[in-house]
Amino acid sequence: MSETVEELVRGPAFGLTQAEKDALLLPRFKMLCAHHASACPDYGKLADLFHPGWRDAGSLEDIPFLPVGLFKSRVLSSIPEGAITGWVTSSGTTGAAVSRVPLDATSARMQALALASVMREALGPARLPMIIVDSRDTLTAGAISARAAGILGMMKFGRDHLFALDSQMRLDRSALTAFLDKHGGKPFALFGFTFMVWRHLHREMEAEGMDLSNGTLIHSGGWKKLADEAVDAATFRAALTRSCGLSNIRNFYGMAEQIGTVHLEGEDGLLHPPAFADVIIRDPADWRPVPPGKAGIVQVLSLLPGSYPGHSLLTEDIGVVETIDQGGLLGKGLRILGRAPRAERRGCSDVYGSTVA
Amino acid sequence: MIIERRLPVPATSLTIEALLSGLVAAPTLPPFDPESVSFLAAVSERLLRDEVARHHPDLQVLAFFLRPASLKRLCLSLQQRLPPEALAVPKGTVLHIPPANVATMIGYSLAPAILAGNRTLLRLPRRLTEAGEILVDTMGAVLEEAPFSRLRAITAFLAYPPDDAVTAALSRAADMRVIWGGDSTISHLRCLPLPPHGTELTFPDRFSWSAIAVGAYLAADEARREKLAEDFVNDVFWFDQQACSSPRLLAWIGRHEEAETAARDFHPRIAAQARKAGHAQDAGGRLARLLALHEAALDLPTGELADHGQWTLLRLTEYPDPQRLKALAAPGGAVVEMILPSLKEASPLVSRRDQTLTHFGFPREALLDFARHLNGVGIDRMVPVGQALSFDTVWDGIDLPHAFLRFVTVRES
Repeated sequence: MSETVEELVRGPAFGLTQAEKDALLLPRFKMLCAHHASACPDYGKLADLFHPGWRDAGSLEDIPFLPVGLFKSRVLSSIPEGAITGWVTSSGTTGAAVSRVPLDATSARMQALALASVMREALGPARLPMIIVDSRDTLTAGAISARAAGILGMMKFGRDHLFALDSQMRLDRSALTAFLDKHGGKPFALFGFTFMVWRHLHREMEAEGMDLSNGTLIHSGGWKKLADEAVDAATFRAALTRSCGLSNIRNFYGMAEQIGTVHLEGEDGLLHPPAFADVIIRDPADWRPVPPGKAGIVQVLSLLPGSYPGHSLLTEDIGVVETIDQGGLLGKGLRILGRAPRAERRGCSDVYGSTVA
Repeated sequence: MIIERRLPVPATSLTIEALLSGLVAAPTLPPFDPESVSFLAAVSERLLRDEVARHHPDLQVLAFFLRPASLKRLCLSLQQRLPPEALAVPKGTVLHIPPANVATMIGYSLAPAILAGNRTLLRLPRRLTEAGEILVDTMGAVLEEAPFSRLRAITAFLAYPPDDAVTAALSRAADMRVIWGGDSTISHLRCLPLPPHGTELTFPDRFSWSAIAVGAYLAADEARREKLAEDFVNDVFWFDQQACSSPRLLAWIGRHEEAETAARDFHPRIAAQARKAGHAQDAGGRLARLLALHEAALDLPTGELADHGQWTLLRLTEYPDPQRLKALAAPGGAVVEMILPSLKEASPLVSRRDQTLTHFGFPREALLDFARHLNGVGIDRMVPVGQALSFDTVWDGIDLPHAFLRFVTVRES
């Protein structure tokens, strides 16, 4: 199983046309579905019930998908308990349920390779000095959070790391100045969660700027909090260019349930699934795929999850595929438009609102 | 502790102590006092006339329930059912904690309590639906009118942020508490004591289902089948299948092959009626339904699953674990289907959580037999398909108008 994935993971991440991807991915996803169906009986049951005929899938659109929320209420595993080497847990607001998926040695290795292939595209082949827009304390605060896992994963692609925020989440200007004195004249990397970058880097730089123009910023984590402040991707870019000269900015889209799979923002401002992954947009009215240009619910497919059936997931995000095979990164160009509104309970059973008191 | 008294209008802010001392000093009314009856009738009249309220079918149903003729009938039937040698008096002060989302429950909970002459403390949900706002505004406007001064003095609609201390103080002053709540809300509020003599009515999470007699269905003509589908769709989709009486299980009662034939005929009618009625979920609702169905498919012995767009069918192959069946809370259009040879064979499914059974094609005697057979294990209401959501004064097995009264025995020498 893993060999056929490895071949794609080691290759160029954004060098395949959509037609080439479709042809390469379909047989691999069918094999992966069959693997999960036999290794995880619950998955087999759901695939048969919700997607009868999936074994004869004629296109990626026929590959079964699971709602991503299922990993919050159920543990779905395709490996024996003894083979589990770790768990990935999604970050969640306090009190909200979190996703948990099991990993084995192979899937962990595959994730690392996959992330590397995408980061090569974003940062180049060499490891660059790296600024982490977060506090070192994040790594040591209790159980490994998704945020800590994300930071640890990204740190591998840089060197001479600087944590730019102190334990109070204030920008450590003197440490940053020292870093820039040493590395600021040549290409360097920055990584942080979108909201942290906005609140703790951009806001500070707005007050008193520094020159980060040789940096490449990789950021991720979603736009929900920024949407509340009416900040979209374009505003974000323009603001950071203005405040500290950062123009090389790459967003990425991914989720804990498909960790290692990173949809990278190209110069076109769109997110591109790498060679071993794809996206399909579906109409919430009937879950049928919609043509490019039409918005719907985002389904993400990735060959990485072998230890749990998370290879094809219906997210709760609304998005649109705007381009196919245009610009520097081949394949689909995705724009995330936001999150589907939470279903409100309207019955007499939720009587008093969500808070009891 | 300062709370907002939204009704009577104008709204005032005051301390709980001030509120309670004022309210409790004012006398209750005798049961069925003309002032209470004409107040509810005036609310009804206004709701039936109001341009905006007329666009809310649930408010119209409530208004119909509160119209003078219906109130008169209710009072009369109550008076005929009083225990011998008894004089009915109000309980005293009733604290109502109505649902946030089925606004009209405020009316259904309040009307019998007001008719009985009680003082009203009502905690307003934090967020009212549009229908809820209309109802509260209407009651406020009517209450302001001259003939209702005695009622005005004993009525308080309160708004306050979640605060156990406030609810506890109100509970201590209440002779009766009525909670329309989810199980967790009820369990939580149970920790706040009532006075030793206090009584409580709770309306917890419920499960409701539907039974169709296969023979009767197959004997029904085209028009009758269409009407049945329309009624079933109203029961399922109104309130997005989230009311406690919204059916979630459809049991075909009869021979297996015939039931298959009937189900095949019925399914497309459901989809067509749902389309016709314009029931559509938003993306969030569709996602929530899909997720809930995935969970249900893992929890229940599912043989088949069919997505018909507006609604999804999940066919069971054998008896499910009743507790897991009743955990299904998918919004808007998830129907679990099962074929059973007789109503009695449905008893393993029944538990205390069951509220409403809507039915088609059963003679009264068969339903009574089933109810006798269950003997209280579950099911509080058996009503024809189409009436799941219509309010009955006997609700969750409780004769509501009676529940708000006390009886003073007066025996002659």
